[in-house]
Amino acid sequence: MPRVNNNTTDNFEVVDTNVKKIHPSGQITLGKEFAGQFIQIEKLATGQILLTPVDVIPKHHDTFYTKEAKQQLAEYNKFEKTHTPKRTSMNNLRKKVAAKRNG
Amino acid sequence: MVKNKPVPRKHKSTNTELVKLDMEFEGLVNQLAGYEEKKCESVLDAIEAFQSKVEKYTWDQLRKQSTKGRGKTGFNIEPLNQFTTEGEQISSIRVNQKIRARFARKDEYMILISLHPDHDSAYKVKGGEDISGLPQDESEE
Repeated sequence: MPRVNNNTTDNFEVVDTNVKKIHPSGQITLGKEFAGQFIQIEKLATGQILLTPVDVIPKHHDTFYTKEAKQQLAEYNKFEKTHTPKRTSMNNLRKKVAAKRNG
Repeated sequence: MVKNKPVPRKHKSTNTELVKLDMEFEGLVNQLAGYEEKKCESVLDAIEAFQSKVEKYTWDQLRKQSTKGRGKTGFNIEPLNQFTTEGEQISSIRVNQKIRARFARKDEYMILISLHPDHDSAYKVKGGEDISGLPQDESEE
């Protein structure tokens, strides 16, 4: 959805200004610090172009970002704080699952 | 979008130690208990086979050999853009051809967090895209 903003810079603190010439093929160079990153390009109604670094989640990773998966991770984070890791035997796991199912 | 940053590991290096599977997380037990009985049994069997296989490897071997190609272990570990509050990066690993698991590592332990259908098996065509639903070009027949 297009962002409506008459003066984009009002909402951002500018920490660096640079003028670059666009290559005849349409390319510009941002610098090595941005190498390999994904950026979102937004053309604003004012004629400004906003570049925002973003994380791209591959489509096949959707299963790890569902509401349930996020909830499970939040629960794990609570568990992790007090948990001392130990090896689990399959017998123990089966017993725990059976107890949960029957209880 | 705020980018998550990994926190440097605080624990000792255990790369040359054998992997130990920790399945103590109650969320995992709840997930398993929530499956239908038949599915639950089949997933438990898959985890048992997975445990006996993965615990034969050191973390170093898993890290070096999990990529595709020669010497691969078939676990196909994929780091995810998710981190625990302690800063450990979460990854997914193939339990079998139909199931992947998310895990966090702590020392030599692989702590399972959740189980998911394996996306790899959902894609029949090498290259990662399922094109079976698209109109096929009949001129090649």
